[in-house]
Amino acid sequence: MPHARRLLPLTLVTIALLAVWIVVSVAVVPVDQTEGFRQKLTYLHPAFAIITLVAFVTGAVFAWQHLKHDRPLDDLRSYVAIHLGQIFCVVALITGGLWGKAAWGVWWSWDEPVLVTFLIIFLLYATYQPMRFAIEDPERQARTASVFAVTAGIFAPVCFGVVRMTTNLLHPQPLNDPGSNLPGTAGLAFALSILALGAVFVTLWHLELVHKSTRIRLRKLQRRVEGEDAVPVVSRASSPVVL
Amino acid sequence: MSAWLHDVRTLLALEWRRERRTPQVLPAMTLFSIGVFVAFRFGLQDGSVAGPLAAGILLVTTLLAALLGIGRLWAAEEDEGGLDGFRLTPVPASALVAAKALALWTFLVALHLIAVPAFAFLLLSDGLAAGSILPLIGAVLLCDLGIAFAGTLVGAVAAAARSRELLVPLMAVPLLIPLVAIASEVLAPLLTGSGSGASPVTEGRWWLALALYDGVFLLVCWSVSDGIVED
Repeated sequence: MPHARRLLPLTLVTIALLAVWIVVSVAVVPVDQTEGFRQKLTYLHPAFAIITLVAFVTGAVFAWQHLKHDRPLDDLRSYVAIHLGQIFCVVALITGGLWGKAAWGVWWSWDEPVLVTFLIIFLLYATYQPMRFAIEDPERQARTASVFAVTAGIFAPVCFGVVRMTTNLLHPQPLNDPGSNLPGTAGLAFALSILALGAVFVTLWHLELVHKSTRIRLRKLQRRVEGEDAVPVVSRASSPVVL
Repeated sequence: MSAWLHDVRTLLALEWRRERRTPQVLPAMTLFSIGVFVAFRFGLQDGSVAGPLAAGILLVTTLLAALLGIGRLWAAEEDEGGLDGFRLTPVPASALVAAKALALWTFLVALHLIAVPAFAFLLLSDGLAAGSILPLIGAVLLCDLGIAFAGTLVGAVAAAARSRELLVPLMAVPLLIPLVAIASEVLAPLLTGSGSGASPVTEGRWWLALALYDGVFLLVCWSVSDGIVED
């Protein structure tokens, strides 16, 4: 069971990392002479995109654990990782649009494969909840969602790999292109953005796990005290209901 | 291993027997594909294509036709309690998933036996170069294999849900986009026609990428088969 007492140290570490990241990005790194202040989006948008993919792959790993060991907690872990990944994905798409407008003069470019790939992955994961909650039996729901999560989690890196192979990219690839390495403090700010948003993800993931598992256990106790009919096993709650 | 292969063969035969008794998937996919080619013939006005455009039309038509097959693949198991019956037998889950994937693959191959000549007749401006026919067959077989593996997974996931018909295209199309991208690179040089003179050559890395995509989804199918069938 996830423990609530870990939340406080996690939150403190996250706040510290966030503070250092904001200070370094805004005050320490000099404003870029060509791009101006909009270059600061380098320390926001890519980190959201990277953490999104990490969240989806994490969801796949826990889903695999669930299929292997049949532990309901693994399903909940996978569900929460994917759920947070979806939120990070929306933020990455929005910040990407803002950056695109500032750098290329357009909110969105359909000719740009990285953007379209990210949208495809978002649309695929957008079917996760409708698929999951269209299955009534909680155990079957968990198992089917795990099959989906493993498949989609493997698909996401494959999709990016294929797109990189098949097309010439306009979108920069700062992690691979030797010509676009971020120098000095800019590199530090970029690394801090990934660390800080990674910490935000882990903290929110833990918080949601604690909240949902507590609610599931509370309902279980309520059913024991007030009778089976007092609280339905399958409610319209937007989360797994078995633990 | 031989017992497993025997189980797969029996289950595959069952799929084909079901299709022979009440033909649903193959006629639907075939009629749909030919209808789309005719629609493109009129939609493109001059009615002839070659190269990447031809590859795109063939692949997207295949993808859309495959959605019909994917939607029906697990329907009998869900609607008529076939999966409950299967769970009572000692047959491993992977045998059922392999049989479903092979059934979809063979349906798609059967579809292409009719659809590719129809496509060449209706839409290919210069026809097919003699040297392209064997690589084209290989590419179509590999492409169908990828659709079959990914489609089997999508069909199994969607079959458990109430809104199966809605979920199949929503999940299958994003999953199959990389396959379409790779297969398009393989097929485009093969569909340049006999008029270009030079023998068509596809870069080896696209063949490898196509085989890798198939391999990845084969492994995923294999690894989650218990999760699909388990009660």
